[in-house]
Amino acid sequence: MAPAASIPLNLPRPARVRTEGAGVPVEVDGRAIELIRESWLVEDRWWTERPLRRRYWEAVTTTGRNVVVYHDLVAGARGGAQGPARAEDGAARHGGEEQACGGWYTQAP
Amino acid sequence: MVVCVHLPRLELVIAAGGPRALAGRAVAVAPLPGSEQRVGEVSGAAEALGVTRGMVLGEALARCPDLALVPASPVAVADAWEAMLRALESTGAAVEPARAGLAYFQADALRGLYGTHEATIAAARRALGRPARVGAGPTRFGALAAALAVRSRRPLLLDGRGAQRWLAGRPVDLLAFRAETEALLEPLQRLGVRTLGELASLGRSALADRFGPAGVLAYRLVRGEDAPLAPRRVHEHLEETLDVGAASSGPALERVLGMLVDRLLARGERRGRALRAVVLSAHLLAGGGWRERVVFRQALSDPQRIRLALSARLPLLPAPAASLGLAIESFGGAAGEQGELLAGHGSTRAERLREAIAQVRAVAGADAALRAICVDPDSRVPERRVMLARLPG
Repeated sequence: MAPAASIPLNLPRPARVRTEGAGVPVEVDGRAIELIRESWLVEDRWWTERPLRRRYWEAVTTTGRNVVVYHDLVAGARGGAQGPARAEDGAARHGGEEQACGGWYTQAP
Repeated sequence: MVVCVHLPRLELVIAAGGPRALAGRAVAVAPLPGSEQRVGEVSGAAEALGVTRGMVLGEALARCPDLALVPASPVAVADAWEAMLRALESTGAAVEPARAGLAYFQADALRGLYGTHEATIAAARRALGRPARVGAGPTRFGALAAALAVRSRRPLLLDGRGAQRWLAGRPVDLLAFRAETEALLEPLQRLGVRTLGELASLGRSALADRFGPAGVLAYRLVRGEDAPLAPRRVHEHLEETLDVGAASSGPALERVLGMLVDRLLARGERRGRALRAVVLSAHLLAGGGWRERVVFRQALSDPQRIRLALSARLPLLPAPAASLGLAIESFGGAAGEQGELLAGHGSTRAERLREAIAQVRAVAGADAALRAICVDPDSRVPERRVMLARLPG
């Protein structure tokens, strides 16, 4: 069997997020949000053909769990054709999966 | 262009002694002694009566009282399938076996030899020497769909956009042929999704939400995306077999095993290499066979240690054996373990680690032992910081 190429760790995973009017998450994967601890914007690789723009939210759910989710802001602007950034070409094909596009994702910060 | 070679019901055909034994008869492969009582592959006639692969034996017999059971023969299936793979490889193809009766190879690399894809497929058919369903497509999944769709001896070749349109009309049942997407079949059928086109129309995001990575993979397969083929590495096949006569079990069988080990180690083709993994097999007196893969903790060439490791597997034999076989599946280093008189602690540790990595790879595949490398630890994008890469060993 051919050896694998490099595989990125900590790839984002699709999440089901419900938001209120201003786009602030109020529920993540069926768990209600108790408190938003922090929010930040990441913009990177804007000089490439695959720019990356994410709004991260760190929140605590009602069960006490700490979660970090982000909203992919690039995919929406492109009509949903763009998934999360790849660490390098082919890297996002880890285990034959490619993330869903234009939505919300969970990821360790 | 990926070519798929499919031999339907190979396990059953071999266990029954040939395809003619199945004609018009309800036949199924019997469960192995000591294993869960579920039938293996079933004939078309049995399928028509409601018997399916994996059905509990009692239910299968209740649905079809005339169901004939043939003993499973994993040894004969493995031997026959290995011979077919080698026949395919003899055409120059780099073959990726998926399971017994299903294999893929890349046809583009063979155009220099045979001229066209049709000629390449014809050469593969000639090498196989038995009827097989052959399909070709831009991806592994497309080729499989084509091979399952053909009923005649003529191959079906799909290309470009036409392939995607054609694939959209195929049933979602095709997803059952991939381990990663097999579990989707039942919920999709309950949701009324019948064709791959209907599945694709749900959209990637909806499939990701409902089914996770499996849903995304299914979407990619339907849209004509698939991972590249991973052909197996070809190596020489060394095997020794002995009829055991009256020594069908117990210490006498261990003596037969010892003889097999000695014979295998004496083979010149081994060229002094140690053994990393072997396959112990037996034809049973009651019919059928038994097969056990053994990976050594470290590559061995000492007959005593090999015998010790293998004799622990003999009690697993489900019934008295008629013959015992031992085959080398993979080799270790060219030399045996060379102890150092003044070995430092570090070198011993490195050597043990190398052996452990080799053992893990022999058991779980070439990608089993990886290491984490900090590529860009200060990156603001979390997935760019650490990568998994192949561990040297």
